[in-house]
Amino acid sequence: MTTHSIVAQDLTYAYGDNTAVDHISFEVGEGEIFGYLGPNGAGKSTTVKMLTGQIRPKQGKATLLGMDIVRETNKVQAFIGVAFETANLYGQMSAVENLTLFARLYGVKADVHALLEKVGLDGRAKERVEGYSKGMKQRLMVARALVNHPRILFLDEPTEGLDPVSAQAIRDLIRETRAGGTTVFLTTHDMVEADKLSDRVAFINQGRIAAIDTPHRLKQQYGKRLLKVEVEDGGGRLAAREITLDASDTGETVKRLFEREKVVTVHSEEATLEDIFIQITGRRLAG
Amino acid sequence: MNARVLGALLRKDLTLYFRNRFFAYITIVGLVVYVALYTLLPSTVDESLTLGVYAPTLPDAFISFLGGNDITIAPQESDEALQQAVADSKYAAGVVLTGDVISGIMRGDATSVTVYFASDAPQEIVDALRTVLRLAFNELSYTLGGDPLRLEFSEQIIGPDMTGQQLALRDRLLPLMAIMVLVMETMGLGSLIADEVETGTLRALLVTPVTVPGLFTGKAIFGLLQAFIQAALLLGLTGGLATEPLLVLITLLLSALVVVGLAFLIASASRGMMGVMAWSVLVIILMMIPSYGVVFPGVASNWAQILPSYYMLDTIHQVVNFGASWNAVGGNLVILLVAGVALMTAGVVVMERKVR
Repeated sequence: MTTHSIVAQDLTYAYGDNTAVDHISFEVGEGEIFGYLGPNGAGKSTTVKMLTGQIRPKQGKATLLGMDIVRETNKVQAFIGVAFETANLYGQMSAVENLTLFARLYGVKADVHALLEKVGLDGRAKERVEGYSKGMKQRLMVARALVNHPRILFLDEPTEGLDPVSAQAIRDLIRETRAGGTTVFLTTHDMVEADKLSDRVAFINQGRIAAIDTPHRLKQQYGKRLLKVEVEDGGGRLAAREITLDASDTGETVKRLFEREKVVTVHSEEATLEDIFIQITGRRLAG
Repeated sequence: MNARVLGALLRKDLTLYFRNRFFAYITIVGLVVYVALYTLLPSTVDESLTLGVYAPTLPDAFISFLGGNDITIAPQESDEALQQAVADSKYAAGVVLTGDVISGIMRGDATSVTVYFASDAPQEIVDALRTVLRLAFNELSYTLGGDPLRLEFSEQIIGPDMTGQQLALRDRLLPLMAIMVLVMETMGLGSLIADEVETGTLRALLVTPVTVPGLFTGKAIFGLLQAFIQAALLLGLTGGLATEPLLVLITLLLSALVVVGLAFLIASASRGMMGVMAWSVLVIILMMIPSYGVVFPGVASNWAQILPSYYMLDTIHQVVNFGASWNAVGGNLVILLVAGVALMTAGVVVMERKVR
């Protein structure tokens, strides 16, 4: 039997008349990286706020590690780590002081220097955070979220706007954390990142879950696999051809193409999560 | 919330407060300047007095008696000139000594003497002059007529009655300085809270086992201690705790409670540091109004009594400068407690709504 770290049932939240999250239900397994994908304003952050005890659901319930987030908020919060999208660190304190403060609040003894080394900040551990770059702050946010060795880690757009090196460092850290048994709830509108990291993804659009599955199965179910072929005509001009790989006569079509035309290049192409999101919801993920 | 979490929050607030250069400087410099100012201000009062007198003929016995009591006589040309001089506060008092008065004294008749007192003359000067004048006329009566004095003073206060207390300026200013130190905390604590909301660190705290009530308790204790310790240090260093120290410290603690409540309200009404500054300045000005009544007696009207700072100031002033007892200022303490609890409750409720 699969153990679920997070179970959301019929979760609903409204800001006045605006329903931000509309009766959503899902489960996240223990040790799973769960990508929660949707455009800005889709309801991602509101869902995370409910799951982390920042706001109370108007309807429905959520249990984390078997505990009700509304009734046992503080108990649950002792086992979770949250890295927010916007850096909310104490700028006038150093990285060490920031991490030590949170370790004290959780009542844990954390090796803050080891944590800082993990995120590549050990060299500037005693500098005030206000002097850090955006990437450094983001890495420190992730380190702070890990200070209590959480069983569930919530990450909100962890690589948004980061340079490739910082982004890769955070992705590596996420994988390493999962390898240690931590469940990761990854909120993002970056479909490439979600595809690279997530075991399963959920598409949220206008407060509702539009689809939920592994990236592979979603691509299988909704995406088209294509063979993109570049051919040269008699006059030396290049032309593009597309062959659907999943059709019943794909083999025959490919054979005919090679017999009749001068093939220059051949590439296979899979649908991206963004293609699938657009197909399902009619909206783009970014923006 | 346990002591560990509370300790961590207090330590964090203390670090943040003193790493903000503005608040670090203003706290330390303020304390040093107030103590230095108190030390530099004169600790004594000029006791020499000048008495305005309108008398066509001034008896020698009267002059010599007053001179022997360090009172200088300033002769005036007319009754009107004397009244004007007293009204202008050139003299604390003036006496009209006409020929009729002298004759009456010489005959041993019941005689009325007109004495003018300046409305802003401190009470002890009025009392001292009254006594000296009675003695001087007594002396005059024996010298001129050999009879016991049958004299009546007809006293007139010129100008609005602002009778105050004879205190050195620095003692008069000391309660004002203490209140200033206390109310400045509205800005310090208000900024600390507003900054946590603005930068989102409050959100980060609230996804840990720290609860909203726990968080506010930490802030309130920090603000309370910060304001209380500063004001207590100031009074301790200036001798303000020499009389009834427990009473003064309790007054400061209750005053700090009022100030912390105000800081919560300011933080909840503000967006960012500028908002806190704007609201704080307004609150500080309002809270300082009753202080003017102590420095310049009679300036602050009765309406100032609706401000809680009136009761902070009045209590400190009465206890530190006049040695008032628990009974004398008990009412003030009750009002301060009620105001503190009410402001604190309102501040927390409004702030909680903002945070959630």
